[in-house]
Amino acid sequence: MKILYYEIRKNFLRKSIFAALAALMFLNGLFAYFQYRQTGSGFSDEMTRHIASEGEWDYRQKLHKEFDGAVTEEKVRRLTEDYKKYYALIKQGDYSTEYDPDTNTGYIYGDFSLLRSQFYEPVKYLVYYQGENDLLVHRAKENISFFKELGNDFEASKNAYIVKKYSGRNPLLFYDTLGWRKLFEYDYSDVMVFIIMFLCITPCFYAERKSGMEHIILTAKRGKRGYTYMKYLSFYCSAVFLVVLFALYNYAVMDYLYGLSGADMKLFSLEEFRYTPLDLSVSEFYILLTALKCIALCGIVTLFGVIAKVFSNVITIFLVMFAFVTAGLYGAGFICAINPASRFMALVSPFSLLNGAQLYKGLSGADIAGHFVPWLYWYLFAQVLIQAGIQFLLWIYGRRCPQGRGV
Amino acid sequence: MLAKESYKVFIKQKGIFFIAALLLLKIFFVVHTGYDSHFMIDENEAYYQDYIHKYGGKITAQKIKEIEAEYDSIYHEGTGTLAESRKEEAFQVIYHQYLYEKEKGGGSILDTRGWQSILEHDDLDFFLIISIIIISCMLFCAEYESEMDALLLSSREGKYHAAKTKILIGTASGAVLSLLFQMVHIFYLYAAVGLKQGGCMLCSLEMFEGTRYDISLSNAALLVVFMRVFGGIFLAAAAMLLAVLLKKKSFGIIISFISVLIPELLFSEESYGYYIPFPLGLLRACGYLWPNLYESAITEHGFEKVCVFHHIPQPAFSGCLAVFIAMCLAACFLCFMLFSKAYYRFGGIRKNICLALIIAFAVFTMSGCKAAQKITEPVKFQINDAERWQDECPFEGGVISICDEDNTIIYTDENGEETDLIRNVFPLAFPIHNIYVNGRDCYYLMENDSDTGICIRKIDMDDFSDTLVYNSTEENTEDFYGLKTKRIDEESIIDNGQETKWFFVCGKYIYLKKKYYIMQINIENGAQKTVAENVSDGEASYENGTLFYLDENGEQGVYEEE
Repeated sequence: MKILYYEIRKNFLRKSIFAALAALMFLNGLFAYFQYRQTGSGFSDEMTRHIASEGEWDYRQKLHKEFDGAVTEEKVRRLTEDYKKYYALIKQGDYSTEYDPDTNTGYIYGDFSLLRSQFYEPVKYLVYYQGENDLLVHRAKENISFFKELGNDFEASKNAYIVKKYSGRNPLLFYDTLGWRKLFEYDYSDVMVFIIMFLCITPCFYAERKSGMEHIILTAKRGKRGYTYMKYLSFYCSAVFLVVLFALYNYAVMDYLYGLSGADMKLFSLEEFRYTPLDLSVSEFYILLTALKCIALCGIVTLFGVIAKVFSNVITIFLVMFAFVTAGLYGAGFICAINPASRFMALVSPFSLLNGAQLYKGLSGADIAGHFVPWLYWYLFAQVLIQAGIQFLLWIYGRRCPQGRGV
Repeated sequence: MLAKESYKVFIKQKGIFFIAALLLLKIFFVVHTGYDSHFMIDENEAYYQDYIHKYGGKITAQKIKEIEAEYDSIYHEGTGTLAESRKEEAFQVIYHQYLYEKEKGGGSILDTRGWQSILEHDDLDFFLIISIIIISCMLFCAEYESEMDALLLSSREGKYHAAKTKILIGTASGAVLSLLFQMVHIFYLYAAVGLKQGGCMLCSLEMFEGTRYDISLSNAALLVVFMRVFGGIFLAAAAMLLAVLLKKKSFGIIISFISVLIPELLFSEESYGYYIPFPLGLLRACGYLWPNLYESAITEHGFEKVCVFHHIPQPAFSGCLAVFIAMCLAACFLCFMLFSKAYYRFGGIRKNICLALIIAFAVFTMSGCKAAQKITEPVKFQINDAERWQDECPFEGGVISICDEDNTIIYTDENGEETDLIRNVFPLAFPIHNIYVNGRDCYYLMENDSDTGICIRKIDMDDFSDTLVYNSTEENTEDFYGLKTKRIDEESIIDNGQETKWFFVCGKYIYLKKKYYIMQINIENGAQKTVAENVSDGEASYENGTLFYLDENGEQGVYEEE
């Protein structure tokens, strides 16, 4: 394994790469901060410390202290009473629009609006979720017998899957979800990882070819084939390290900016994940997303490596990689498409697994001999197949290459 | 030396091929993206051109009389034929422009599509940026990578003259490439919609209402072109400096690219990007001429508008330009000093000045100035005026209908018993708008206001399988990290509001009627073809490959399927 360490040291453990990594981590933080500054502007209901007034923020914190945690009957009763009190005033329309020091935010409508958008509506969603979900499961159960009678195996299998995954849900934990939503959406760190991987991989083969080191390496028994595989292995190690590093960094930044409370809260507590098939907590889901990103990055760096190996000109490598990233991202944009051709583009794009959060917003799957198979498995299978295909082709090329240049 | 250096970069290092490839991509991109337009113009182009021909130019007393007379004839004397309603749509655009121009604009009526395409978008041209960066990095990095720099520095000509020549080629390439890539766009617009009446004032475009620049459209376009040319020169100077500092092509290219990309990602929709002392503002250029831009919406508090772009005051613009020029010169100077290692000659104080300049450049740059289908039944289709909305179809003694409340399809048999045909437990993505039943297949069409596409699915009444037949809704969610922005304005909302009147599926084709035309869509490849225009909302029928419909004058039109 020494050769793996040497490859990592040669390509990644360099001063220039550390400098680039430090600069990109700083930029990543800057992006997160800019996003934070824009959150809640315009017509959004989102509230951050940056846009809220002192009174609004204090009132919000006070209410969070009161209502955070398990949603109990007592809490719901108190919240509904407060809401109804404000609602009656607002409905009558004879409330004061002037500054009122006796109110929490300074204005009656401000109190009402904050209570409604930040507390009443989210808690109402949680309270009603179980009933609506039970109805959904009940319909799925009815569908199973309905489709079985008609001999439609696929639909019966799909509904059985729904019953299995959606039964017994009760998301009765209330916390602020803004930070988690922002954390799942945040994707600028992917750009930073691409840039570092590009800087590391581009000279990987090119520099050795240029300096003539390639000839020396290829004369050694281990150097001929094992050496290139170790290069790819070093790419994977670095990619996984970078993804995990940025995932931890993003978590820390988002926690600092928005506050990530309620790590045990279920994923379907977030309204956009209402129909997710996953029964995971938000923190577990973040780990899953990071794992999917690691798999995606391994696929991407393999192709980066192939491009760096095939082309001998740095500018050509840059242009081809740029085109590959653009085309790959475009293909990945079809991750939730319903057209078969669009789906195929997403399937072959290694960038698709970077959009894991989108994939899990609802349930989608395809038919294999009358069985329902979720799309995630298709994506994973496609990536494994593509990677295996590339490695096989490289192996064939290495065997048949007349100069014996290895893979 | 100029010829030799140029030969080295463009021929020997194949720079010309990279530029040609990127230019070809740019041409394809420009043709693919098209130009700014309005659906009322696109659908009634001939009528619109007639009006432009008739009323185009300065609004005179005579023209005012003519326009008002035309308004009366259209709105008070019209007989309501389809031809008249299309003419009315074209006139609406002209009349809207007339009212604006008379009250707030420059007092002229003109075809604004070409000018809008040039002046109302500040997207970065990444093809241009990449080509400038590549040439700039090639100029210097190749010498370092082949260790030719040592040889060059050993001769007087090589030490100073080579550096000056390289900088000259780099900056000239930046200018020429910028001009070339912009010309592609301008020539396309000129050929597609024309760039006429350039003498009209900038405020003739509604977006520029309240602009502080009292200049003509052609002058504004020229100013934008010049700013982008200067942006090209600035980018080339910055990229050359980075290439000399980093000495490696891979690092030079990627760091230069990042230095443009990162500010763009940070400030893609704001005016701050124009203040940053880096080439970004100049390469975007148009925003320097824009007034304040607002986004509006009807919220629970009533009508609200939010400023999304703050205009750049003239003094700030002049200040930015002065800073940019100074920085461009500083970058060229530093590049020369660093490549030729001329700072050894200056020694002592001068050496420190160079160092201070480098640090100042870096600090200034970082900080900124401001913050498949199987048809078993023969297809027959009949629709009459009364049931044109296709929300009910008879089926086996009962009726299949759309339930708007639950957004589903219900079959009610002769005993009044209801069965839900859509068994999906999750809500549908779009509202169901039309249904069509053929044999034991029930097709349903979904569309909504926020998307121009439609989605048609089929329910097999034997096993209730629900399969996709055709989908043209926007499926790609990739925004390229915020670089691709989609702004939905009032026009596109109205445009998307065109509902499908009726549709049916026949073999490999879907026929549907929208507004005044019948469209044929090939299910296999998505190819769309307008098979009949000027179609009224009256009866239509299809049998054995022949489509009958009523035209704008109430006469029967026929389309024979190929």
